[in-house]
Amino acid sequence: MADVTLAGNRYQAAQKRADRRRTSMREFRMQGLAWMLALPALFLMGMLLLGPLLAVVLLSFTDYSLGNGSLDWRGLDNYQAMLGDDIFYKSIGNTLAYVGIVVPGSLVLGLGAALLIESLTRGKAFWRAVYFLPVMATLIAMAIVWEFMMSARFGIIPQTLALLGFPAKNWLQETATALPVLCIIGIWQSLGFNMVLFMAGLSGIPRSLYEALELDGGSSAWTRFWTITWPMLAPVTMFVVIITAIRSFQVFDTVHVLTKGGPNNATMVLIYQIYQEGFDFFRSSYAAALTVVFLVFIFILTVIKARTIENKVHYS
Amino acid sequence: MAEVKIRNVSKRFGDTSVLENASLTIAKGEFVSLIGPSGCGKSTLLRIISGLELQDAGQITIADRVVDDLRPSARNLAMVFQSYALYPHLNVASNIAMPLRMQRLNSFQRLPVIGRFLPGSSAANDGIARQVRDAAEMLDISHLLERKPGQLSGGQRQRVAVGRALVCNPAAFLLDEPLSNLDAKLRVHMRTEIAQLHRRLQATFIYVTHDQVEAMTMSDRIAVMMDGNIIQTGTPDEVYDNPTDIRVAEFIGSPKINLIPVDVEPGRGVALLAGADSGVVAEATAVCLGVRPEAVTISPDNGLLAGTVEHAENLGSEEYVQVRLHALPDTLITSRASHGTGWTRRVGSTAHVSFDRDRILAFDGAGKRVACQPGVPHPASGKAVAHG
Amino acid sequence: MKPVSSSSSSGDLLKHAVLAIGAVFILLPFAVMISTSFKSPADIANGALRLFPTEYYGFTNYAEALSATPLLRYMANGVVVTVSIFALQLLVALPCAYALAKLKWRGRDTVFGLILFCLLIPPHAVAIPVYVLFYWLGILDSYTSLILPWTISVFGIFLMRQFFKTVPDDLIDAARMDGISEFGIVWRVMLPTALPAVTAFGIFSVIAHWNDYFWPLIVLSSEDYYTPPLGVATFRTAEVGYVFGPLMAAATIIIAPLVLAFLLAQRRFIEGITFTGMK
Repeated sequence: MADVTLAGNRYQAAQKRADRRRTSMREFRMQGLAWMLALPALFLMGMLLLGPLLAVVLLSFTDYSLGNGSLDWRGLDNYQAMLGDDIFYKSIGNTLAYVGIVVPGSLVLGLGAALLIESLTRGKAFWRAVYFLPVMATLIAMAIVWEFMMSARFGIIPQTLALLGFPAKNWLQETATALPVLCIIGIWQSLGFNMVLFMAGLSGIPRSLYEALELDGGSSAWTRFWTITWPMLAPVTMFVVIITAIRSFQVFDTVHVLTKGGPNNATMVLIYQIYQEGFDFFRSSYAAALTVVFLVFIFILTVIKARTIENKVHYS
Repeated sequence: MAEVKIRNVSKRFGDTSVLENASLTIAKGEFVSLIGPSGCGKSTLLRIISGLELQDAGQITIADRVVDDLRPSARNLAMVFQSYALYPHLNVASNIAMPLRMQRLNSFQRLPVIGRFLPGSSAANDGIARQVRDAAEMLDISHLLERKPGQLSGGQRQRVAVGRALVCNPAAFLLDEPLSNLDAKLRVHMRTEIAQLHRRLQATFIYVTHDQVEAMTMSDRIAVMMDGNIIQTGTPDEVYDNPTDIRVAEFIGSPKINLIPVDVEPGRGVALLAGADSGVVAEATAVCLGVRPEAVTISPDNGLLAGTVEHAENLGSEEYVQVRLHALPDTLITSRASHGTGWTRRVGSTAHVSFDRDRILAFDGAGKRVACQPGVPHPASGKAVAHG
Repeated sequence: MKPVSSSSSSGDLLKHAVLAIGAVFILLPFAVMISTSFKSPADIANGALRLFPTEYYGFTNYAEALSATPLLRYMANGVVVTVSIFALQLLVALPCAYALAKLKWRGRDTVFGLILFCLLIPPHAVAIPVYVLFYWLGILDSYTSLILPWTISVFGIFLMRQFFKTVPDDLIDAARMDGISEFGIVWRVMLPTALPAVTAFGIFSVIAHWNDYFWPLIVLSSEDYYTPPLGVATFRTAEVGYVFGPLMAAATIIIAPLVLAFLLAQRRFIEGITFTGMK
């Protein structure tokens, strides 16, 4: 009797061990499989995003310049140089000015277009396509067209303005007007994108709200907009502001093709300065320090954006 | 078809134990339902049998083969899911063919376009197509083979899911609440169809449900699960008439079984309901009697306990009446009688309740069933005397 | 009833008018580009305000655009680069997104956190180290240098993970019962099921990389690998004195594929942009 129990116990113990081994093997296989699936992405992420991000921060404390075999630790030298760099102040100022003009400009125009088009009974798709066209068109090609339109002798814009009595000048080559012209191109290019996001936001507002308001006696377009549309659209608006700001912060294409930062650094912006320092003058470490400044701005904006998305989730 | 054996299976998710030492043997060709409230572990048990989930301890045997180390697809089982889980991008024929394609074609033969021209694949494909057609015919969905799941009704999707299961001729069918997404009428219809399918295929079916009607009507045996344990296994009749646990008694049966607190007279063992002799003798540990509604009789002037009619429902074929007992104000007794057999109950009127002594069950404080049988009534006093 | 309908239709008319004025601003560059691409040098010099050319010069301008620089080669490069980028992005992102959305593994939350963090990194910010890396690897000025940096799209992983989360677990279990491997599930079940999201991401990816200027500008030095934006920019600098007719013809050719694709499949594009834009 005792022997039987003993054998039974031994069997149970063996079974338990087998259970544990099997569970851990299977567990191990599943874990390994998941890592295998994620591995290519993780490897590339490390090589192309996280590693370089760390490198850019480290580089900004050195005197590395491209092609050199060696580098020295220079602490905050690059940042100190930056504080004494007039062009840096210019490019920060210009970038902020660019963002400050393009964001409200493309926001208001995009929202206006979205409201007008959404309220139409016919022709919605047509107007939407028209306003969205610049988003699809290669910006470089269109920048060249804008440049042609701005040229003093052949351009439609100076020639039209000349008819109205303005001097026929290329406004892209005037210190005072070059940046505003770039802003106009920026607005032209991005308003369609914002319009589409707003249209999505508008279609998410339940019609019953408007019907309820109508029963409560508020029937003018003005009341409708301020009591329902605008508050309901607030999360989308915040979102559009942030992503337009992030995109505008990275303005580069038009500057590189149209003005090269000139005249007189009037259109020098942050990314263009990074490009010049890094790839024209090969002062990689200084460009890295500028990049760190750029990153700080972007991180602030993205944190605000993440907050907005959270709020949007709470909203619904 | 095969025998499925579950031996001492346990499973924990983090700190919560979902299954504790569950054991169950499902015979070849048997239809067994796992039933219980949500969270009782029935779906987890099914998933462990299928191999989709791995048990922490215990053993699963299918046709005398231990399958614990086998992938789900190597266990030769088929599963029908609650949400049907049809591939939305494939038409009905391809959905049904999927398990066969995975079994019979190698990965090159499965390639889109080119695979068809590889050696051996056309014969295999023909065989698969034939089996798909046969399955479709059996389920009466031949006309739907070219459609995508999105174009089908709930009932049709259900059939396709069954088709995908039966096409690979599995050792056992696992069905995870397959009818719960259908509307009431269709559910009744599909219930019959699944039962017929089981009779026709003579295959082993393991059917998870929380719906007792499904379990009672289709199964050869029912395993009632509560809190990770299988607390009773038996035929539908056994489980209904002879529940071994108060939780089984309560879970099975609608309207619910009546539970009445009881005092057992020391010595004689007579069960007293609010002092009145119930006519049965029970074990001393009994704290509660259970009486199915159809074992309750209500009459206007004659009965064991008096009460007030609180609610009456006429369902056409039968009538439910709820009476609140005067002596036990916390107890509401439900009776069920065929329509037209009683007197017309008016809410608020006084009624007298009595019980069919042969069908009274007794439970102890832990909810376990204890012995209880009809006592012989004393001729003079109307009191019961224990048998031998 | 009548006054309501007439007032709303006159309101609509006003709206159309306002939209039309805005459209002049939006469409002017396109109109100028196309009209100039058909104009003779004389027309360009004297008729800046004229929409239609006085003499048809289209053939000459377009022929010049295609012969002065290997524009078609640039377009082919653009196709190779955008298609490779998108294909590799899917190859890398889908398995990872599947593991993040549907498998339970230790480290999943950490990996997802890393991906959220990487979403913050703008491509310009890592340009210098990646350039230096490619310099040391000796792969600057090649297709590889154009494609490799974009093969990892954390945005794509994020987007696909969100979409995969909505795929029912039962479907994946059914696939496992049918004998499909985990890797097979990614391609045979998840990809087809997530086709709308994949399309949206594809539109987003192709637009971004067909139009990208910054990165090709940095890594390329030989014209063999030029993508359309670089091509048209060189065209401008190469043609001394700006031969505007052919230049506008070249611009037209380069924006045509995407613009035409957009006009043909408007709804899909707008849905795709909205879907990706709102994340």
